Amino acid sequence: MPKAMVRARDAHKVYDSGAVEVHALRGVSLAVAQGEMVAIMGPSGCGKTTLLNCFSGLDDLTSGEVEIEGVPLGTMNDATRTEYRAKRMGFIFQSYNLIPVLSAVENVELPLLVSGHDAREARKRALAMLGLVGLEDRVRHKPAELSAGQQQRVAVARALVNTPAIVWADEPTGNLDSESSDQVMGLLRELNKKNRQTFILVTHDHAIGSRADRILRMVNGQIVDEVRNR
Amino acid sequence: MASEDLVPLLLQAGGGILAAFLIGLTLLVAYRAARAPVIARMAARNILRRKRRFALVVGGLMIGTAIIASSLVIGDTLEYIFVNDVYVRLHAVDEYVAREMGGGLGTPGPPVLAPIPESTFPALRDYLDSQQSAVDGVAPALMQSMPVENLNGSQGSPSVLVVGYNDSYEGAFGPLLRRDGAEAPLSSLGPLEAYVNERAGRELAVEEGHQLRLVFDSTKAAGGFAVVRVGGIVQDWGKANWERQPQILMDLSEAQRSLNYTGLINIVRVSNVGDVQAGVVHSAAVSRDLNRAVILNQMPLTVTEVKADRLREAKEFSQEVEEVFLLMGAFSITSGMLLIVNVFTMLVGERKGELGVARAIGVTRSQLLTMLVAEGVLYGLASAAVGVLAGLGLGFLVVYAFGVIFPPPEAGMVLGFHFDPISLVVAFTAGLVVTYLTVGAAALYFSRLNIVRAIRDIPEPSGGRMGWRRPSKISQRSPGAPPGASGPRLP
Repeated sequence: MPKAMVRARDAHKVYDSGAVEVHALRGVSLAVAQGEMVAIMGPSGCGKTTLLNCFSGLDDLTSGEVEIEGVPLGTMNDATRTEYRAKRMGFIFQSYNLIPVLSAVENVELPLLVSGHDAREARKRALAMLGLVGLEDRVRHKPAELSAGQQQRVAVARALVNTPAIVWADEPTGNLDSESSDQVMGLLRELNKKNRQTFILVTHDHAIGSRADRILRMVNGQIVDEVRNR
Repeated sequence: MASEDLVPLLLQAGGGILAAFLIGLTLLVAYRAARAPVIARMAARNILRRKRRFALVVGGLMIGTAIIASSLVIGDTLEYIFVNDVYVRLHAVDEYVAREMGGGLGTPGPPVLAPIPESTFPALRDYLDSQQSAVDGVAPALMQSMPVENLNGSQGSPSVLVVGYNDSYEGAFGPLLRRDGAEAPLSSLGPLEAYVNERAGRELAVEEGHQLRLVFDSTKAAGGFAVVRVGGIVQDWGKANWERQPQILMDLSEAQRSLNYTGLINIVRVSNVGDVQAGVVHSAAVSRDLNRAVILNQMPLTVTEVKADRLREAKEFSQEVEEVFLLMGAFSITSGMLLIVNVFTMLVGERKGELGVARAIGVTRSQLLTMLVAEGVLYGLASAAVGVLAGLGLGFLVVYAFGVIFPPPEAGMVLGFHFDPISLVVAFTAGLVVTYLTVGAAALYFSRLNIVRAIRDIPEPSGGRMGWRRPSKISQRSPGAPPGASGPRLP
């Protein structure tokens, strides 16, 4: 039985801005096995991104428990979480969020550099990853000089360059045309199979969802349905 | 140690510690940036990507430094002017012994000196010799201010200093110089002849050969006066520029005869070892010896460390002016600090999203802090350098304007701009401190940002501080795990 890379028990997240309280996660429990690709789908505002943020350790739960590779997130201090993110996780954000003052290759190699990799090795891997996403001729361009789709592909390359154990992706193909979208999903699927990397994707796109092993449907902060594609 | 000696020492020690701290901090940031070149690259490029804004920020930041620098250089200029004036007025005289009847330090004009026996001089000189005091010249003199009339013209002056010197003892006090630069020894004067300095020459419209009437005792019904012939005009330099007074200079014995001062002098001047500026370091020791000599010989005389006293006054006055300027600038400096905080917070706040992403992909809090502080260091160094230059320029303008609006109080006194390089270092350091403090506070704030709120550009909850609140930590802990556990070994 493959080990659970991510396990959550009765996770709650409440946003309290003073005037308004928003219960974004209402007792979510799930387990994602190693090498699994799970898609989280649901209407806007149902808590998908909150789930991603809290279960990856970017944000804190109000109550409940999340374990990453068997270790409770709550026992990790900020430095440990940061190190873990640099070495074992990859993130693809909805707005790609590249560092504007760094070129494409510098953005991609950043996770390797901050986790202590040799600069030459980091550059080599970054270039290889940009080649995989079809941007070998844009490596020195700054984000402002790239199209939305190209920026998204750079973000994908950045998320994958450190061969993460878990990839958290929020609308990874949101700004891509269908061809690029297909190419990127193909790459994610290939890595998922080849390296047994675990993928947790948030998406509105049924075509993307159908390529995952499992779809978890969320409504109003709760997982209401689970569909196995494989 | 007296408190007035302790304060400057404490200030110097404090300044030294501060400078060492700033250098250490700058080097630490440079070291950390060198260890993570990508962080340094991000810091540098963030500054360079908006050059106009960089210039604006530096322009705002440098105000504090410019104000401090200009205040200090104005103080330096005033100190230089007043200190220089002391050396011009006193030249080689470091101390004098006399019986003052009134006037003196703090009052206009030179002190009024009572007559003292001429034997005072060898007694003092011999005692100083016996003590091997750090003295290179001791000389008697007769100095009296009196009305003088030019009998060859209608010019007169109500107060001209008539001075009698004995050239045999004047070696350490420098020669008199004619206008062509040649020496003018008193021995070349004939009976009832005197030199006149340039200042007196102008006031009395005097030429060589003119006759001057010296009225030395106008209380006498018959009038006490003497007539001397002008044997030459000497430069307003050295002892001929004593207290910047118009002077008539003659041999001591001639002066004693003419002014009914036979066997009397009224001042013994002392020059310490070293030149005009260096001799003052021996003042305390020499004046101690002079005081002992006066007591031992039971002389009712006062020893005056005239040069040391005047220099101290000059420095105190210029420091007070400097402090006034600094105080006037303090409000601007404080406003500037608040501006820096706001500007830097705004600049960094604009980039909250990218900072959040950087944290998400593995940049640590301390790396982020290093990046932000490195930016602050670059801003600080640039603004402090520009501020120092601007302060120099501002100080120059103020001194220039002063010189135009208020002409020098004495003829020959030059209001020249002058600065001490140490003042520029102090201003640079102070400017760095201001920037480091304000930038450091903002950097610390942003290094603790909440990643998700930063990425999504959601404002912080009111009353909450970034990164400090961790809700329900207990509920996130697995059963049995100790509180604050640092976490697992990474696979």
